[in-house]
Amino acid sequence: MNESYEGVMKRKNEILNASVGVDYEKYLDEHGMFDYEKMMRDVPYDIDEIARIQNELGVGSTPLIELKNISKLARKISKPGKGARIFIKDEACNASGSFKARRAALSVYHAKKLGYKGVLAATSGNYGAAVASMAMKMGLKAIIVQECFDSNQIGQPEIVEKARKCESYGAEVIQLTVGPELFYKALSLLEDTKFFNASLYTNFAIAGIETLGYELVNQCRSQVGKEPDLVIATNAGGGNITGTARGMKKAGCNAKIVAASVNLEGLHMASDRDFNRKSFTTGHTGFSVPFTTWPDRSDVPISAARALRYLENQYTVTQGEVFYLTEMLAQLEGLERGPAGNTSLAVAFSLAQTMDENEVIVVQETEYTGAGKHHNSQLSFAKENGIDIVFGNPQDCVNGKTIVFPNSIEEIKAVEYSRRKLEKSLVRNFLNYNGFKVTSSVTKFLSEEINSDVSTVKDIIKELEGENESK
Amino acid sequence: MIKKGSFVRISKVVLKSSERIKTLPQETREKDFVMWTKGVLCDDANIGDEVKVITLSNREEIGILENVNHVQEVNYGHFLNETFKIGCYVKRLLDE
Repeated sequence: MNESYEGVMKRKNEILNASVGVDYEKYLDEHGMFDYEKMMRDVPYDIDEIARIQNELGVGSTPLIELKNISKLARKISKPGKGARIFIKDEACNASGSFKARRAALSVYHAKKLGYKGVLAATSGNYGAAVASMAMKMGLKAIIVQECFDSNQIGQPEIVEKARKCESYGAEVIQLTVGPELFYKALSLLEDTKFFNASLYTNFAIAGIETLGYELVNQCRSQVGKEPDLVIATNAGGGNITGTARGMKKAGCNAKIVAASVNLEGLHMASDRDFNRKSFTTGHTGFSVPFTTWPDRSDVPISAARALRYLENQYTVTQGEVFYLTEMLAQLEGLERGPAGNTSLAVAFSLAQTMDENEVIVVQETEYTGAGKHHNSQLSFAKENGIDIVFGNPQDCVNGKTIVFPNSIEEIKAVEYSRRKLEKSLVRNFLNYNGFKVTSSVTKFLSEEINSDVSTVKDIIKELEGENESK
Repeated sequence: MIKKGSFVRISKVVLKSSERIKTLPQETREKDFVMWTKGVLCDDANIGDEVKVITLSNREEIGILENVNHVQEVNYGHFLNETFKIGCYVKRLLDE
């Protein structure tokens, strides 16, 4: 068998189909368009059964906590009558410490049911710990493949911590230097071991998150006496938004859901030099923009995480603002949690000021913190890498050079990222990568992908054609 | 000499720099793509030898013997005056 990079990549779809036990071809219609809802309907567990499976594994039923002090602070700088109530879903209480346990629980459960002896996940984040934890609970082997070191063997502390955590459960951790060839290594391992690909992007993984949206709506109803007015989810690969929104709909709630990401503009995701100049390893625009606008760049042939189908709009905040809110959460609410999960909290603090004081915002996750993951660990590491930590206007930060803490809480401002720009990129990517001619089935599919109407898709295509001609 | 049966860490070049994806940024492309894993050493060996291990997922892997009983070292960082100031400031604001 040809084990070179080219040889393995040529067998990509064959390896992926075998390693998730799904024939993705069956979700394509006669025009080659993919039927998303059909794929999601094929998850052989309904939401009650998923909740039962998760609860037996120590996952789900996490508390919903009102952040009264942070809400009070937002109200102090809002116009009279403004300043919504902010609640947080304490997902750090899941086994392995993050909402990713919901995805992992169902993926690993399904892998076991299908008879796989082990699972593999390619991830540097909380998902690795989640898969390792669930695999051990269910008696399967686990391999976690992570991008961890720069070429000087300096590891990003948050990722090294994740390696420690995976090993603490007894998983094998494969640590790699920077580069997208991680995918090649993961494919080779899947082919050799015949393990299940516990991808973040299968329909099982996304169905696992639906319980989060479902729970938060029902908790709001019983604890607050009303449904949430706004739900904010940190966005990277799109699964968090997708699963949460789907779960909210299953609970009969159509509240707005917006995405939050850390702005990491200016830092290249595949750069050996930039790797350790990032203080956030997930929840940032380096993932959220490419994945939102081209979901099928993931490690399965068709991704079930399709954020633009669900998100109302996307906001960005800076690294400094998220660290600031992380400190605030500890100091004012007594909740010491990991920084990446607080991206949506930073957005909530800003948006709360524009909403009425009887309205309810739900920040739908927290994550565990600890050595390596703690914000002081990340900030100390940043300093060691020559990054200045200063007080000023967060919008003046230069990623990779400065982290700016706001001088005052008035300076914490979520910036809206143009939805139209995301829609346009998705349409462009879809047409470029698939090479489809524009037909009515294509425009209909794209209208579903961007959760809009066919005429909007046609307008975007016209705009793109105009741009091509002017080139 | 590291004894057979020890828990060790090995490294391996997965792709030489010349075999890497051509579209990568220059600073990444010019470096080898390297992996590390851990396992139980199959035979006595010295640091720097090519060795075989059985990993925690029960795989055989071959690589260069790096060290024994390796720990993933992480810490909580230093005391930072900057984050200390945030706590003092927001507590004061809340009391005003």
